Amino acid sequence: MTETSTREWPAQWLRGALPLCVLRIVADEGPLHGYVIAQSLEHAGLGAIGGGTLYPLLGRFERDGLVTTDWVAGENGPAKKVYTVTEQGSRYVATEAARWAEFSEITTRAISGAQTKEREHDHVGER
Amino acid sequence: MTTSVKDELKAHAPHVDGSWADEFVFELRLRGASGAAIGAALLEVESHVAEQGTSVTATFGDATQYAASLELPDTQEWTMPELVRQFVKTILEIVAVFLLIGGFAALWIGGDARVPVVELIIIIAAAIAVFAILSATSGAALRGLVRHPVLGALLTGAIFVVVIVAATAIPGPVLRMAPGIAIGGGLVSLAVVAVIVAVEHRRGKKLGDPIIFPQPQ
Repeated sequence: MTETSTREWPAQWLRGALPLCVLRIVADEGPLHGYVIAQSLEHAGLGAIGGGTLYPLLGRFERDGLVTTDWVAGENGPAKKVYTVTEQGSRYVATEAARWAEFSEITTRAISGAQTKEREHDHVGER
Repeated sequence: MTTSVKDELKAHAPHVDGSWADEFVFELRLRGASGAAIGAALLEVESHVAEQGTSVTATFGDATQYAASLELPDTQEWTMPELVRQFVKTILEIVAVFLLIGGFAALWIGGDARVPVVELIIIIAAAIAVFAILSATSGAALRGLVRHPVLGALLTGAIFVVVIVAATAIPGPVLRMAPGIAIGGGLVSLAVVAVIVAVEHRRGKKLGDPIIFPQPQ
């Protein structure tokens, strides 16, 4: 387990980013069942995501037509519900990932104070 | 929840704490989820907990909150024709009770069967009002009553007392008829109710909706 996998992030941050992260994992690595998706998220450094957070999200994706599901027999265990991204889901994740990258860049600049420094620099230049 | 249902839940979800599973299924039932959807949701919890090896509460939290967060479709929600049929059924059942009580009382005591019209109307109105509130709130009112049993019992008792007091205090006409007619009318009302139930059953409205666990392909 990597060092990042033990991190805990504020719930309000995860609320924004988690849907896209989950859908990206299903799109890239699917078909997957919930427990493996949770593990992938943890390995990606997002921390331990509980079933109480993950499955309502997957259910919403299913209702919105972003994923399809099947039940497969588990090896020496209970049956598993596996999720596969649909074409609509693939298009959605591609579009939203691009938008998220833009949003992330803007917020990073805003949080780091880069914009403020640029404005101060511009003011000095004007004088 | 019956012992056989509990046993079935335990057989399909051995890694899920029994009381958590009971609460989860109960909440989903109150929310009108289908038996198939409940089975699938519980099996997914079982699959996750079995693989992770932690307690169901640690991973999924409170059973009631988790059930609510799934937002499973309410399959018990009535369409307008179904709602009308439920109203008609309720009215006929109350009329049948009044007619049968009046008819058999008259046979026992002698004389005509007596059906107090105002009492009948008030009780029908109260039943329809309670029914309408439960339907309009999409089960939220019912869930509130079940979750707060003491408050629910007090409220139900208060409504019952108000209805009975109002029904007996307000004077009104009394329908008089031969006992045989009253009993016959009561039986006909019950027969119509039975026909409505049979029609609903034939049209696919399930009288019971057992929990079905998905079978892997």
